[in-house]
Amino acid sequence: MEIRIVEKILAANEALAQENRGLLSADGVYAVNLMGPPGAGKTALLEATLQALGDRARAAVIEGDIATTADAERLSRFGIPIVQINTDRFGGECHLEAQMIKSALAQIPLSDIDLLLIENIGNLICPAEFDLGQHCNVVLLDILGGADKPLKYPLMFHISQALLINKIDLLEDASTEVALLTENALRANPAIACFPTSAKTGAGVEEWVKWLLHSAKDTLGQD
Amino acid sequence: MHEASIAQAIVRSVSDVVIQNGRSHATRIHLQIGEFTAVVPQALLSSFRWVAQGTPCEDAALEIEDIPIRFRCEECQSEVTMGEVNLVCPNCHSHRLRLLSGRELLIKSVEAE
Repeated sequence: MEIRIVEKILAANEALAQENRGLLSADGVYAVNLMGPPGAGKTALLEATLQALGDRARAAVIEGDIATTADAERLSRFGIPIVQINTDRFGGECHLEAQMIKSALAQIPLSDIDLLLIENIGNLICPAEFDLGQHCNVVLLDILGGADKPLKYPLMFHISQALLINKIDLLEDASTEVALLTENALRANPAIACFPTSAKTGAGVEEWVKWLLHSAKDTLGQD
Repeated sequence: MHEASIAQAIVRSVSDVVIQNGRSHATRIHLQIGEFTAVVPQALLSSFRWVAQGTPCEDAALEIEDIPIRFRCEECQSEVTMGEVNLVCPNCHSHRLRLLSGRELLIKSVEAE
């Protein structure tokens, strides 16, 4: 017997993601999915972002790692709601999925926050395929990690609204590398916004934060 | 990697459909996998064999149709098939390209007994 289905393989994840997005929007929470390879500085950039945000937005963080609570512990000094997801409990997934976010949301007082920062597992491939219910995708690269990354992993850049080019403090003049990375990222996504940053020195973080707050206002239609 | 997650999702959906249609096992599963997805067909095939064991999908042949990456230029209406992704119209150099195909992760049909 032939049964015609025509169903998305990830229909179940998409349905949960839509639910998550609905919950977040209803409470005026702008959710950002921060992705990038391991070691590029995602957690450090989150620290710098939270520092720079000050009281402009009340934030919460969902921290995704295969194992350890190290990243959540680093962020605990900000006194904000933090939920650590360890995917080794779900079978060692190399990406977050909507079900995990749904469980995490239940632990966050959504009506008390404006901004949810989700740090995905360090990985330039898999997370691009799994909607979590976020409003915005951001990919973070290390400026010395290879300017051809957007050419090797175009999907990640295609689905992201912003690219953070981190660790610019490692180069005396970062402009050539930034220009090359930007040019390559634009091939996968002509509309991607690029921000050179140094989580270490704070350089470029304010521009990124301004863009983030502006995107939140645009999407959710409120301050 | 994540192909195991994808394989699990396929096994779940197809097993449900097989049972809902009063059959006991799937013999063939036809998938469409776009070339602009994070799924590698070969890796999916391997994961599927492993994940499907002990389920109504364990003897199913997985048929994967590769869908190419195609864009249409909103400026000049020409259609472009891409191997490497470079979102500039080769005809008029516009960046206003709309994706026509390549992002599919679909279960098209199932044969069951």
